[in-house]
Amino acid sequence: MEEFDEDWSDKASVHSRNVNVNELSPMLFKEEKLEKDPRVSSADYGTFCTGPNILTLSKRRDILREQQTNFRELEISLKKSDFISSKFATSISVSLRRAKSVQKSFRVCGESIKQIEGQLGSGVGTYFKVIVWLLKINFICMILSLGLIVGPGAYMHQIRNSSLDHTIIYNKDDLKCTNPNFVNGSSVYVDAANSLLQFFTGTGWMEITPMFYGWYPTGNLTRNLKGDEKTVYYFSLAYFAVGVFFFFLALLFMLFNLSTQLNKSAAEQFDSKPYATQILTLDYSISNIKTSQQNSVKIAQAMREKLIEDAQRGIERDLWTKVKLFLLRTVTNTICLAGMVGTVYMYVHKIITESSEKWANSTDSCGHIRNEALDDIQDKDISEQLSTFWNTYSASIIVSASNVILPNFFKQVGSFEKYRFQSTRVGITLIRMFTMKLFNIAAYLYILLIAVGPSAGQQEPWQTPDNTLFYNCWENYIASQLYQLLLIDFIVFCIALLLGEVLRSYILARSSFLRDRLGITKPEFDIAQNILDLVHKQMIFWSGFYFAPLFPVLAVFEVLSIFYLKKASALSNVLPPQTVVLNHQSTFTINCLFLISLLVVFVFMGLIIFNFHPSPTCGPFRDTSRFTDPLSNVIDHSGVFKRYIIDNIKTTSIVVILIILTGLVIYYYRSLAASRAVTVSLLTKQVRSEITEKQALLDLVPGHRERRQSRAQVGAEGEELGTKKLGEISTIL
Amino acid sequence: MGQGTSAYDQSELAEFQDLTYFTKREVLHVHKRFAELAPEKVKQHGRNPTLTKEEILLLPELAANPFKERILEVFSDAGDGNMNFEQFLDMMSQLSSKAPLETKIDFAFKIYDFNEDGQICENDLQKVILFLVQPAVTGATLTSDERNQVIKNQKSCRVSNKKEETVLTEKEISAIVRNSLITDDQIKKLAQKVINEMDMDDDGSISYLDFKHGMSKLNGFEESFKVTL
Repeated sequence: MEEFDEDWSDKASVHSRNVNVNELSPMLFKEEKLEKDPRVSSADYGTFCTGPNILTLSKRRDILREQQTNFRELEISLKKSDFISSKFATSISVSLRRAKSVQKSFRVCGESIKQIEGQLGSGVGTYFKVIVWLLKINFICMILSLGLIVGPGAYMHQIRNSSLDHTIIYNKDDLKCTNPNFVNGSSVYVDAANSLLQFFTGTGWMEITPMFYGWYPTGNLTRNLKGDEKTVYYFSLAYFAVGVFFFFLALLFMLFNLSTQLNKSAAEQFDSKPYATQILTLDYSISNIKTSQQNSVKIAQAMREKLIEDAQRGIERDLWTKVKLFLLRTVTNTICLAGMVGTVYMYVHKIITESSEKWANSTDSCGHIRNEALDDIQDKDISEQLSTFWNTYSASIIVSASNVILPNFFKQVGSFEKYRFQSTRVGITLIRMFTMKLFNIAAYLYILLIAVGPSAGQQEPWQTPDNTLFYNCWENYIASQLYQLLLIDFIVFCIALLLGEVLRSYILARSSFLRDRLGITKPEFDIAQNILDLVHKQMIFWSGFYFAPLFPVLAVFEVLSIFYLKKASALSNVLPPQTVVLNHQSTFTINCLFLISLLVVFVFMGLIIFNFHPSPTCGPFRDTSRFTDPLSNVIDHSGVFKRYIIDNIKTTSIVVILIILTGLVIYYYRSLAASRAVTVSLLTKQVRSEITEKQALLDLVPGHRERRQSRAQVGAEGEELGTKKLGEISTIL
Repeated sequence: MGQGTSAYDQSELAEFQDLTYFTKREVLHVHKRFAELAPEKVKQHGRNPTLTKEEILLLPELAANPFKERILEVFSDAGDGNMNFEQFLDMMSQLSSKAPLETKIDFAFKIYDFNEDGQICENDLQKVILFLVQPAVTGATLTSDERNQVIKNQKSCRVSNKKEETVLTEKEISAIVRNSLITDDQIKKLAQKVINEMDMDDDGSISYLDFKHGMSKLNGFEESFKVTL
């Protein structure tokens, strides 16, 4: 190897990007070529391993201008046809880039999220991004519903009495599940208060609005075209298709998202760097100084706790301690389970059974309180009226209130369980909260199925001895119950926000005794609890969508309201979270939560669509025996092979096959993730050996080996030198 | 917008668009924010005035960042934190959410390499941790009772060590507060832990390749390493 200038390595600083180390040696010997190389600055030179070589904006401008000049010269030398095609390609890519930047500029609520991230950190920003994501999904659902169901339904209503030939069958009086005062095609309301009550209960006059299933006509929209009767719109089929299609679309979208994240998440799990994650992934988006200070405290505490946890990992507990902890945790888990089951018991057995017994004689065929019974109630005193109110709304109030009360209860219980690691404690609380919410909604839906079972032509297990009610339009009943739950849930959410955040912050600001003596602070923004709350609300939307086509409109409205109410409260009444469980790193977990809740609703919808008989007196399926009949009719006119497939899909055995297939898909992705982990560890070894090899090459550069050894020496003498330097650093800061 | 349109014409804005991750509109917005930091200077010097570090640190998005000064040092050509509009634009572009992961990793390495030797050694990491904790230290407000208690404790220690000291400086109080959050020993342990996690070639420090490999796998780095104007 030629001798080269020893000063070379001291002055060489290569400003080019990603210079191949293997190219360095030849370049070293040819200083002239190096100076002429446009990637390399001739200004000053340093060592070859100065880390990333970053071009400043002015240097990039010089390179860009040179490239543009070269390109123009090249264009001149091109043949005309090549020139035109290259211009065309360039203009396409420029247009695409512009379209992309325009699309990015239409970020929904972007400014608000930026403000929140600046104040509370990107973890809280994640919650608001989830809201925006839900808003988009519900908006798409709203467009589909309005365009394909509500719009055509309203049009068909309008022309039902026209002289045009049509096959629309509709009669308002067929909607027997209405306000008991609805007589002979006209509506007679008791009073304004009763009408308002019906707005909140989703009964009475609400049932003959486009909000609910019963309002929608059956049949198809036809036109007399050139003497032939042509069906231009299969309304029942459209209703069925939108309801089912949307679910499949949402399910596929989430499965796809999940599968792409499962690989990444599982691989990261095997190559986790908890300390590097804490220290090197500071949230740069925080722009509020106070939040930054709180974030610093949080980081310091987290780092300290992690060190303590790691120290404790090696320590084995004795047998007696383990037994004590096992018993303690059994008790706490039993208490939590009792809390969940007790909540469900309250609104299942106590309320619905009792109310069905109590009101069996005073309700009409739709389960509504008869007028005479209403008069009877109005004569009673306040406590009995409140009792009536409670019986009407108890199910919704209990479900919504439990979603607010039980999570706090679980957190308190969790603090007694003495888990060594805070991450374990917080994870278990999260699982309990999610299970509780899922269990609540699943039980509520199950009870609705039992309530309407007899009305939908079902026998066991959808019929109980206590159930004496028969609904003429059971779909409306389900829709009105879910509508009630939706409204009450939103009202409870607003009350909890007002009392738990706004009022608390207001009182604390005016009471130094509470702040200083008792140490009460503003509430923390609990990301996990808030995201679970969103999952709960979205489950209600999905459950009610098929029976209430205007639910997506309510969903969009509610999600927007939640966004702005939460934003207003978060910016002034809460503190950034101290312990973060779900944050910007947890997209996979959040997707899992939504997917599981969607699957529960899927099961509910599947049971109804494939088993229950539609009401013969209301809705677009009144003249069919199954919800799937419109689809069957279309398929019956198609080929034998298609019929064969669809006939088999309608059977329940397909559910077993789907479950097996889903299990296989999950197993496949799990195996893929495990194999990826093995790949990661092998590649890590490969990278290590490559770095060692490069280090050996770089050691050929004079001075480099000495510098590396002196660095290692500093590391080896770390303690004494480190202490001294730390002291120097502290005084500088 | 008016000031921006008079400062740069369309062709220059197009060039900025090509050189950064911003659209023309965003470039103008950045210029507007830049001008707001020192309006007199911008008016006087026109297109590309150089603002001092103190003037740039008036930006709220940077003021709250523990590494604010280090960021400015990395992005300024002279390394002193003073920068003109082009350097400011470049900084905001590289720290925007549109910048690719590789770019973010490059600049994160530069920021954390305090001694600029191309390696993140243990001392660099200890500085990183101190900088992380610093906002909590400066933000901690001691009541007069607490201050007196701190001084009293220090006095009694020093008297027992036969050193007399009557007044504690602010820096000393800050050091005491910092020590209550995280001790020197813990800082050293943490720095060592990070090196153990990230160091691939076992040379006791984190080279650029180690850093790049490790950071590309760190969950949340891309999302969190951004400053949005």
